[in-house]
Amino acid sequence: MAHDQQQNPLPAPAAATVALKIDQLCVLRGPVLVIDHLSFTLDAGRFCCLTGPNGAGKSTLLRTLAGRLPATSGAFTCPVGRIYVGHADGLSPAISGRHNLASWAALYAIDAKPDTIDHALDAFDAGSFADRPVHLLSRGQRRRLALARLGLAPPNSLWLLDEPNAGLDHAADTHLDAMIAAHVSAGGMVMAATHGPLAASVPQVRLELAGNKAGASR
Amino acid sequence: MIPFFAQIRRDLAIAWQHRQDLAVMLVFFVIIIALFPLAIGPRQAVLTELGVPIIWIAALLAILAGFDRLFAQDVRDGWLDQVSLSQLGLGWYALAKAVSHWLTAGLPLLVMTPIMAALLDIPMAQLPVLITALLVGSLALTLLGVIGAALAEGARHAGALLALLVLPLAVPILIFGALASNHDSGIVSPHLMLLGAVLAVLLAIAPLVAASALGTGETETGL
Amino acid sequence: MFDYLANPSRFMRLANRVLPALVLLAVTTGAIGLYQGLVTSPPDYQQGDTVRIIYIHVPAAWLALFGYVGLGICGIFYIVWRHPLADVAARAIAPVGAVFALLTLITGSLWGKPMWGAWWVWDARLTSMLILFFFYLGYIALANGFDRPERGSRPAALLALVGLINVPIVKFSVDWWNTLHQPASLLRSGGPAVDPTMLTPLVLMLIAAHAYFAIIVIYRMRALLGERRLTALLLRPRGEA
Repeated sequence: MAHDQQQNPLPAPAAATVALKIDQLCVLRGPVLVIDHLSFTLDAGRFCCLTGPNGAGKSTLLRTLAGRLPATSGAFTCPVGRIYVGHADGLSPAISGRHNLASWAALYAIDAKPDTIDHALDAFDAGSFADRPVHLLSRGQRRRLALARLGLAPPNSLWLLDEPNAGLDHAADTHLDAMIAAHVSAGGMVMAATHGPLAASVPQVRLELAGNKAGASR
Repeated sequence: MIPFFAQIRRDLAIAWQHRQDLAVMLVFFVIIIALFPLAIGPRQAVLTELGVPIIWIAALLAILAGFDRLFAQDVRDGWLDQVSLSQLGLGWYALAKAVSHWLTAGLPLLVMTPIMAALLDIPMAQLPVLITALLVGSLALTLLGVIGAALAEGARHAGALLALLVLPLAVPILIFGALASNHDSGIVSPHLMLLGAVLAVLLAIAPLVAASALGTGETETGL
Repeated sequence: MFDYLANPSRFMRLANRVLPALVLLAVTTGAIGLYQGLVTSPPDYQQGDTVRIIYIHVPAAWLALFGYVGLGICGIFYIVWRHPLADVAARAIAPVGAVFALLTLITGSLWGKPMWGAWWVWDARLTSMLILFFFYLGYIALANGFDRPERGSRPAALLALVGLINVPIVKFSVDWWNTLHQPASLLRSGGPAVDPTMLTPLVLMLIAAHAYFAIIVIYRMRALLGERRLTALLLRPRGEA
C-alpha cells in the first residue's frame, strides 16, 4: 500500500540485496491502529520521504523501525545499522556538544578522532558552539548538533529522520540536503518524515501515510 | 569495552556538572545516622549495639534515594533511543549506569564510613569487616536499584513505587550485610559469601531485566 | 494446550463450562471442612480452640504462595512466549494473592496473640509472608502505575520473574535471620504437628481454597477480557462493523 510518486527519474538500485523490507506491519498505539498492514521496500541508495498529516503515524513508523515501539503484528528486516534522529536531540544538556558527539561515536563503535568530530561539526557550522554546555544553546543550535552525528554515520546505514529540517535556518537546511544526497549516492538508505519539501534535488520515493490507513493503493 | 567506558565517562561528566548532588546525598547519610542517637538518647550500650544496623539502613536509604531519576533524564533527552541502537546495547548501558552510580554514591559513602563509625562508637577493630561488607552490599544495592529504576521508568510516582519494589528485595542484602559486619572471626564469613552470592545473582539478572524493561519504551512525550 | 487456550473466547468458553463444577466443589468441601474444623475436630491439648484458626490460616498461606508462583509463571509466558492471556491472568491473580497474604497475616496475628502473647512477632514465616505481601502490593502498583495501562504489563511481568528468583532468597535469608536471632522459646513457627483427625478438614479446606481462588480468578479474567473488548469496540473507527 505504498504510494509511489517519482519526482525525478530514479537511478537503478545500488545493491539489489541490501534493503529495508517492511512486511504487513501493524502498530497499535493504545486502541488505535496507527500503522495498518504496511508493506514497503526501501532499496540501498534510495531516499524515502515520509509524508502525511499530523497524527498520521510518521513518528510511530520511524520509532517502530528504530526498534523503540513494538510491532503489533507483521515484521521488518533491516540488514544494516540504523541511525535515528527523532524529535528529541539525544544530547545531554549538562555537557558540551563535542563531548555528546564523542560519546555517541564511542557507543556506536565509530572510530572518531578529534579531526573527524571537528569535520562533522563543521558540516553544520556547529564548531563555534560545540564546546559550550548544551543547556546554554538555542533550539536550532541543538538541532544542528543532533544532525551533526549524521556526518559520523557509516556509509551503509539506514537513516531514520523525524522532521530533520524543522526549525533549521537556510544554511543548515542546505547542509542537510547535501548530507542526505551524499549518503544516498554512497549506497546508504534514508527515510525521513517531513511536512514540507526536503532535499528536493535528491531523487526520492514518497510514502504517504494517511490517518489509520497507510497511503492509497497503487 | 570502549562503548562501556565511554558511557561511564559520560555519566561521570554529567554527574560532575551536578556535583552538589553528591554533597546533598552525603549530608542525607549523616543526618539519618545522627537522628538515631538523638531519638534513642545517650544510652551508650544501646547505641553500641545498634551502630552497625544504623549505618546499614542509612547507606541503603542514601544509595537508593534518587534512583527513580536514574534513567529518566536519558529518556527525556532521547539518549536512551540512541543507546538502544548502539553497539553498547541496553544491557551493558544499565551496568554502566550501575558503575557510575556506585562511583558517585556508594564509594563516597564507604569513604564516610570510618567517620560515621566514630560517631556511633563502633570499635576501630571492626572497621575492616564493616567496610568490606558495605562494599559488597553497596554494589548489590546499586544493582537492585538499577533493576527497580528500569521497571519503574515512566511510571507515575516513580520514587515511591521504586521504594516499594526494591525494599522487600533489599531485605536479604540488609540481613546478610548486618550479619557480615558483626562477624567476630575475620573478614570473610559465611554471611559475606552469601552477600557475595546475592551480588552475583543481581549482576547476572540486572542487565537482562533492564534491557527488557527499557527495550521498547516510549519517551515522556508519549511518542 | 497453552496454544489452544491462547484464544480469549475459547478460554472463556472453557472456563465458563468449568465454573459450575468449581463452585460446587468449593461449596461442598468448604462446608464440610468448616464444619469439621470448627465443630467436630478436637481442640489442641495445648492451645485449646484457638488452634481452629489453622483451617483458615494454612490454606490462606498456601494460596498466597501459590498465587505468587502463578504470577511468576504468567511472567514467563508473557516475556518469553508473549502469550496473550498471560497478562490478563497475572492481573487477575495479583489482588487475589494479595488478599490471601493479608488474610494469612491477620489470622496469623490473631493466632499469635493467645499463643505467643503478642499481636506480632518477627518469626520467619510471618516476616516472609509480610515481605510477600509487600511484593504483591509492589506488583499491583507497578502494573497499574503507568498512564497508559498496557504499558505496565511488561515491567510487571519482569518484576514477577525477578520475584521468582529473589523471593526464595528472601525466604532463605529471613529463615536464617530468624534462627540466629530467635531466643530459645516456645515459639513453634510451624504450628502444631498435624494429627489425623485434623488432617481431613485441613485438606478439605485446602481444596476449597484452591477452588475458590480459581473461581475468583476466572471471574476477574472474564471482567478484564470484557473490559478490553469493550474498549476496542468503542474506539473502532466509524463505518466499520
